[in-house]
Amino acid sequence: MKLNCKDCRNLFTRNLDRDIDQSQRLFFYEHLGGCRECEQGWQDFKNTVQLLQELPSLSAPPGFLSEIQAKLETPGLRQKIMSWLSSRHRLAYSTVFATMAIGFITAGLLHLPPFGTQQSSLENPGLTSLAQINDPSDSSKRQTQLAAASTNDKAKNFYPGIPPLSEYESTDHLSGQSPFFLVQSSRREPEGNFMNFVSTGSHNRSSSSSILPDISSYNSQIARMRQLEGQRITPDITITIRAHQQESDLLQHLICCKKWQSRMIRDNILLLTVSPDHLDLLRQTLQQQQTSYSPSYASNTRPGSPKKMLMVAVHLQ
Amino acid sequence: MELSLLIACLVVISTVTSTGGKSVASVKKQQKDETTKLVQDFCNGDSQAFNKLVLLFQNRMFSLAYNYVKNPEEAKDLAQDIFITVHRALPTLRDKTKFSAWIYQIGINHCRNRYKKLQRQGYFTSQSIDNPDHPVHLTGTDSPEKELERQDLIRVVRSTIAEMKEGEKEIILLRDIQDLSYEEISQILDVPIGTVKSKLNRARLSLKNRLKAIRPNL
Repeated sequence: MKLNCKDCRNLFTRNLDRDIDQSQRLFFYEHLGGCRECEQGWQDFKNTVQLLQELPSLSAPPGFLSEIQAKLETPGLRQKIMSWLSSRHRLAYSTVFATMAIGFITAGLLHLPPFGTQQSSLENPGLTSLAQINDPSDSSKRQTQLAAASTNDKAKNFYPGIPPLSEYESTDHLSGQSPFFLVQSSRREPEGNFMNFVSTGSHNRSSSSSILPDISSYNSQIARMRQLEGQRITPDITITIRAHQQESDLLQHLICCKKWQSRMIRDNILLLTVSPDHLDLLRQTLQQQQTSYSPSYASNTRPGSPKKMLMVAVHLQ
Repeated sequence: MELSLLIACLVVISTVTSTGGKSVASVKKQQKDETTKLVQDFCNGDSQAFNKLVLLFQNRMFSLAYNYVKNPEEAKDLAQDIFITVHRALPTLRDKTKFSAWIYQIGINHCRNRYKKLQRQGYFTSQSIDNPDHPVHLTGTDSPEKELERQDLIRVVRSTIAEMKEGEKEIILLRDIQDLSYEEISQILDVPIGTVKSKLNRARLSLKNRLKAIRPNL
């Protein structure tokens, strides 16, 4: 049996260890005799192994044992933690961890109902009239839903750099048992055709795009809105209007317009809850008058988030 | 007469050889028994037994660590870490007679981890084979030129070993530097003896080729 070069190289270590039988050794040396490359490789292999075995042995540096003893006497971080946990604090720690775990689970169950907040608001799509809102049997459920919606919107409406805006969805309004609950629609409606929040009762959900004033319930609305006087309100935008002659017409127009919700705070201050989509319409309505905006950037930009309802105070001077 | 003298000489030589072989085996067995006794003593609460174990194995562990990471400071720290691990884990060793293989297993694992850590830190990329950063000082009887040449060759060999692949390096260190048997290497690396032999052959060929590339006149 003749060996090829690969078989020959594979036998280098075994031949060096004398771990091959006589016949294999004969074939091995026979191949080396006829192959100069393998012969040279075999010589180099032997030299390499000899070099390895002649490498001087190394000794551990002085003080090796004493340093180990010093390291053993100094407990490591892991040992410290383990000894600490395994001794007197073990019971306290397990109690704390168990309490925290129970607390987290309970909090998670309370704050994460099986159905999301959006679904909760969709459960009552017909909340469009004052009569429904004032139903005492449904009041507590609705308050919970609105509080959840408010919390959710607060998280969504965080815009760094924009001045902080008041939020009409605040639970202060709910605690005051105001009849004017504002519920943001869960789906966006086509612009210009729908009210996308609960009306005050003076009008129903309508597809009319007309902004002509409906003065039929004007006086009763004024009377009802005045009941809210004294309520602490911080508007997002304050628009001051100098309109001495057309004051009553303008006021009537603003109150009866179906694009926003209005309430009279004082004789000369009208509070509007305006969708951001209709803010431009409000600006156009007031464009004919001498107006000043506070904050000033609100005259041409839309403050707050696109989804947030704006509270606009119209001050008639 | 000459024939009888020749036969007598052969008999004497064979006797001496067999006696020497037996003495090496008996020394190894004696060392193993001593190690096993020290291990048992340590497990029974004798703290001095651990110090004796350290003295027995410190050179081997330091040599293993030094040839693995090629840095004396790292090697010292590494070897000490090996013994600290041994001190902590020795009571859990089931078969006390296999302490030698067990400590080498711990040593190899520590070396692998430290080598990877140093590799991540870029230690080995800043090292060069031709850069005698950590020369090993030897005392020889040859002329200074020959001694210098020998030291240089030793440095090249150690550097080449340190740069080999993990598996190749370990098997060369255990067999050719630590002079362990195939059975012991098989236990340490947890591979069959046949695999140990074939891997050792490949590793030696690889080292030969690397050295040949650096020093053609090997």
